[in-house]
Amino acid sequence: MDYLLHIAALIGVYAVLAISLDLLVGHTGLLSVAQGAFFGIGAYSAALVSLQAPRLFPLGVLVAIVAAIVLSLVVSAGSLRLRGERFVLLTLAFQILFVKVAMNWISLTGGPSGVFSIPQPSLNGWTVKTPVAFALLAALMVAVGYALMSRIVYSPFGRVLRAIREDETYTAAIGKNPRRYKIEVVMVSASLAALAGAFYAHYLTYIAPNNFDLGVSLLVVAMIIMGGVGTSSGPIIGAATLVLLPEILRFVGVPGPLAANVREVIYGGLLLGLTLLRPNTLIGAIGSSRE
Amino acid sequence: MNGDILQIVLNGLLSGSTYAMLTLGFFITYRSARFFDLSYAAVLSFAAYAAYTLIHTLNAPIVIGVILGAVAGGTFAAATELAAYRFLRRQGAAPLVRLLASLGVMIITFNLLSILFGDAAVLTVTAPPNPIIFGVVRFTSVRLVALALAVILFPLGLWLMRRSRWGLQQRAIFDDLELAKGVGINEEAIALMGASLGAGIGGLAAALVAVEGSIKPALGFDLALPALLAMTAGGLRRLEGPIFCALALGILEQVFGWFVGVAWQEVLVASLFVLVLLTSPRRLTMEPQSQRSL
Repeated sequence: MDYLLHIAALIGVYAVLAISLDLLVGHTGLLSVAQGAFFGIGAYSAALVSLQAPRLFPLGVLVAIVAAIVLSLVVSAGSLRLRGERFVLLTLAFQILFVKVAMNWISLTGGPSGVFSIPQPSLNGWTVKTPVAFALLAALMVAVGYALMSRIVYSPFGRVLRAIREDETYTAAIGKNPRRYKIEVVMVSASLAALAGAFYAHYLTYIAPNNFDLGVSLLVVAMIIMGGVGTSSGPIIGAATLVLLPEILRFVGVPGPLAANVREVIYGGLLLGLTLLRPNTLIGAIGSSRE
Repeated sequence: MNGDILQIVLNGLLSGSTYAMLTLGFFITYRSARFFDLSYAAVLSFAAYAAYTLIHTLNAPIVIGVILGAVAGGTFAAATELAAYRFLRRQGAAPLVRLLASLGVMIITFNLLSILFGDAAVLTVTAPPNPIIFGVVRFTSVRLVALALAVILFPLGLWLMRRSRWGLQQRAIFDDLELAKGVGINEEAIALMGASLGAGIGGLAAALVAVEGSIKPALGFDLALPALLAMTAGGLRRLEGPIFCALALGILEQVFGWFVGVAWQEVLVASLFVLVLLTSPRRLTMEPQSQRSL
């Protein structure tokens, strides 16, 4: 039972990450491969705050979100000037920079060894300890993420985002400022990823740079493609599918050390396979634009 | 102190020459494929491991191992072009979709190499260990070979892209695809040759790295990043810009490593990459240039 609850908690983490990315890709037309970095920024920020103030879980989450918002300005600044492949390159560079800094700033992040003994979420003496409580907290996080996305998507703000996705020049011509909307949506997306990161750090109680590398960012991209880009339940379905799929490896007897590599081969294969199967509808409007 | 400075500059120039070869390979790949093919990183890892296997497991001479490593890289790129990118091009997939596919190829390759050879870095020093001493500076024979190859390959690359029939056809496609197709230029053949050639040159540099240092499955990514940065900073229109930036990056990296620490060199590369993308986005445009482009 504990194993199933653990899987449920992981699905919750990745569902929120997928929702955060879908806001960018599906609704705004900005393909990012930096979601792993914002996930990591949230995780490290929350972990470091909690090590100093173990009983103030919400403070850690708040710091995580603020840190992600501030650092998201790098990506949002790029979104104003770069499009398509070039924006992807910027997010790739940001993702690499985050991991390299996390690897080398040993006094802050612990370097490749990571941060240990992160306290479990606690507030006023009440601590989340049991697998059931973690699974419920993860479900609450998904509910918040889903509600936020629905609120955004069906609001006038969401309609402007979709207009930007379809034609940015036209959106500007009708009096909307695409720059403002892009900055705001990148901030919201980074905040959600940081929220997932904060939960992840407190749940596992140990984090290291390779938990937030490019592979994680690409996994989240594969999740939203798998579930359907720009659909309300797509990110959750994609996250559930891709978290559950490699678990099958446990039951077919793949040795432990190989399992991680085999899992990554599956994710890479899905990314490649889905681009070959649906090259023009894969990522909505941005995927259909021909040369 | 003067000797130290000279050594740092020389080390930078030697690193820069490897980066220049990697950049030349990536530039040719990009100009032919017309998207940022990140499976180039996979090609580099594949070539490095091919050279390593040939030299260490099959006891091939170093020169043969390096050359066949480069050939393996070129073959890998040709296979990817034929199996994936050609299909995507025929479907009219956007460059962004092809870039996603290339990320898939990269992840698959790195992890298959991990399964075959292990995740950990493998020490692969096979070259003669005695350094060549020249006055106050010293360098290895492999580094000298890399510098010599860069000096030979740069003018060859320029000639190939500016004067050869393939280069002219590739340029025509780059400037106006529909017009080029209209006059009978075979886009697929040009892309296939560009992928093989670019990967072969990059593979040669990666195989040389494999001979002298250590390799790991994601080595190709660490090697492709400086090349990508050099292309971003130097622009995509003329070869001279990226090659100059590759050499400058090699020197800058060594100077930075001397003052700040070697561990932070890779942070410098990633930071510069972000900075250049944010400050000079126009360098990454590939609009057709005048007759003098390239």
